[in-house]
Amino acid sequence: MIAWDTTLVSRLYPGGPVERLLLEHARRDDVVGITAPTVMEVVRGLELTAVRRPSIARALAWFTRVVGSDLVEILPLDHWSAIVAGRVRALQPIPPTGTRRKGTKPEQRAGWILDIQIAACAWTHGRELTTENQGDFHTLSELVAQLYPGAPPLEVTQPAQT
Amino acid sequence: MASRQRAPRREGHRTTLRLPSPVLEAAANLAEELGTTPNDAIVRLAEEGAAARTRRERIAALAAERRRAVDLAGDEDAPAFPSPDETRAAILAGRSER
Repeated sequence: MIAWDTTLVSRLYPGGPVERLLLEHARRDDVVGITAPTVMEVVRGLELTAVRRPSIARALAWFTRVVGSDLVEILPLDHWSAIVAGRVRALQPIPPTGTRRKGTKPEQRAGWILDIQIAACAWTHGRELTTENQGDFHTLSELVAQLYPGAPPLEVTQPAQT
Repeated sequence: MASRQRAPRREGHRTTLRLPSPVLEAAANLAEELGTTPNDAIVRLAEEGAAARTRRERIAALAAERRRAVDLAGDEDAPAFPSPDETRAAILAGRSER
């Protein structure tokens, strides 16, 4: 019943501990969800880097196969999640303050928009969200609860130790 | 002579089933893998399937409840519908953000 955000998916590597965890979930018929915005974020990063380092193209090909397989379930940005994401962004257009962030202001804002979409997808698809970015996603969970007070909240969990 | 394999004793309803070949084949493979009887393997497969179905139903119910909240939000606190210009300006508000 979980979805992984980009902080976790970015640690996926053939034969690595996070891939083993993914396989373990699939073996238990508890397939990990990955949101479409996370797929976009990961692929964008790999594609940009592949221009400078051609070996990254292999990682992109591998990731493409993983997301096309039944080891994961891709959670689309459908009409419910798009509505939730739009409402959350209107409520909190820029990333919350109080955390040191990497990147330029426009990059931070783009990251925040992706995190909003990730939270919205996980929530509307009935998943809990596992992330290393506890601060921002707890904020997002509170924003969703503020907009939909009677609905079951977005649960945000820490990744298991790998 | 090796003794006949027996399935673990279970409580429950006793029944007779006609199994599709793929299920029987899967049960035979699982029985061999676990060193148990085909009947026990059939029950294990059914338990696995039931658990998977319960999990799927739980996710679907949670998603449905959350989506219902999305569908219902907003109607109750909208006094009157805005004009076409107001609506368009509001929709494009994000484009002028600095």
